Amino acid sequence: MSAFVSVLLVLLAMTPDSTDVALLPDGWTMGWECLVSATGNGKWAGNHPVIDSTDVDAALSIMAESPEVDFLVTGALMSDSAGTFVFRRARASVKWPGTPWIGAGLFLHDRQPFVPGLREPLVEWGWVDIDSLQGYGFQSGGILGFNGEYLIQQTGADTLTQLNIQSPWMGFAGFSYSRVHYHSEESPLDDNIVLNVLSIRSDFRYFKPWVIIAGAEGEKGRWAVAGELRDFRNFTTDWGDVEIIPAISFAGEEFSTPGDAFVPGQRLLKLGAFLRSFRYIASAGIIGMLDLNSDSLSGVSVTAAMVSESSVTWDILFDAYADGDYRAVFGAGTADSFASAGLRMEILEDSTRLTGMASCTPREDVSAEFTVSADVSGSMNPACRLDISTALGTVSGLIGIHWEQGSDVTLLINLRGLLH
Amino acid sequence: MINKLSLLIAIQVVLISGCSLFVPMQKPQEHREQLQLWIPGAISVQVLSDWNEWGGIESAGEIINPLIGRMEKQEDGFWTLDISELTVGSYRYAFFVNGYRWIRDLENPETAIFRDQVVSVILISD
Repeated sequence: MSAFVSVLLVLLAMTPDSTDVALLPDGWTMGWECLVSATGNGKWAGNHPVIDSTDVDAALSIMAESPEVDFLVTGALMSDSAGTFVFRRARASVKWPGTPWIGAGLFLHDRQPFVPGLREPLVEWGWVDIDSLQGYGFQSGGILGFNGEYLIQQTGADTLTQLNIQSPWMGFAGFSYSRVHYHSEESPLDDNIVLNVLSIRSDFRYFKPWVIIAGAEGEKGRWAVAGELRDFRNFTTDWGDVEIIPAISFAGEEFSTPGDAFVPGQRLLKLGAFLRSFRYIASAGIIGMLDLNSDSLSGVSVTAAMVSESSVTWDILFDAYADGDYRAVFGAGTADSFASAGLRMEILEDSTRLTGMASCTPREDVSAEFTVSADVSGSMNPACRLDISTALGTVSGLIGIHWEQGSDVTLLINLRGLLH
Repeated sequence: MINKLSLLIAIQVVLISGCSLFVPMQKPQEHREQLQLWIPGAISVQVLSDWNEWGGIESAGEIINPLIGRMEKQEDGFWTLDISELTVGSYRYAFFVNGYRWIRDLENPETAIFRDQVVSVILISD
């Protein structure tokens, strides 16, 4: 397996630059790239390391392009647990000659559904296993500035369709629309998901409303709406400005999506103030949240950060909720081009974890970092790790040694590279 | 006694170096369409985000492509990346330092969550 990858790398490295291949017609360019990642996991046994498992991933992409037609094929290989290679990913897309705004593509384990929200997404990455997806899609655009895409993919016996439409900015407003339909043959009631998401943005000169309306078909209560007033800046100076953001986030009792944008039944009012500096590396923000439905989401969230003139970095995060949950993170560190050191304290309800870090960069392409942490509120549970990393051009390497109380010393070796 | 002594020392340190400890560092220049991170000892920094499938973590193979979101190192310890080509939308992002460490954007007070980590979020409007 490793030999195969080695041969592949050697062959690719020996191949001359193929962008001027004579066999190609005039106006065509061709290129390739190969992404390789090799990982070894092991532990320290006795006085020497033992590698328990290795994984080698490789993705080879070949691109051909002309003014009228784009062609891209990506094949990816992954070593499975049995040590054999399995086919991983492929994509081929073509644009209609003469009308470059119309295209079609075939996808194998390549196009994953994702629908962003205002902050957290409505459909999160990884909702559908990327290794199970295969299908085709169409793209069009250019008509009055609109762009659209329609994808039909199979995942096992189930069907996933996606429609995305993006409008141009029309002077005062613009919108995008996404529809995701997951149709399961085996469980037609529970596993069928239809999600429609309309995102509207506008500009009223002094502030910019941004609204997301989402609806799922079926029972009542499958709706959600979120909105923010952006760019409301009444406190602008040479130093920086403060943006005030009023926001709402309401969802029906039966609304749920494979993302964290909404909690079913939430009636959330938010008011945020965010300080950004034009001149200095400093920022601060505070958000007050009032959940009209329950106390679980009511609370306050604070962030503050700065890099000082004396090269000290400060970072503070604090979240507290009405139901008693809270989390505080305080970090401080100093750095120069050769070394750095820092301290980080994370306080949760039942633990206070203190982490110390020191690193050095003896060369521009080599860095070593040592961290020690312990729960100072009681059990201690100490842990430490050493990470040595290197980056040479498009190749990077990492050696990590990790230990925590009650566990063996573990070892990670990773080598990533891009040949092209 | 030891606590009082420690407090005294801490106060002294703050007073002596306070002028520069809590005075923010000046940015080299303001670029609204550029992300920047001050980390002089880093050997590589990438911006992983929703806009690039988190560098490859969220695509088949889960390999982070070392060229995706790669930031450029400047002489003054800053790493920069131009984001003027981004289309309209809301994007979560974080800095990926030295191939293993995640850092949120300290210049951006707006945060979100990705894989249980605090990351930054930016809204690109028209």
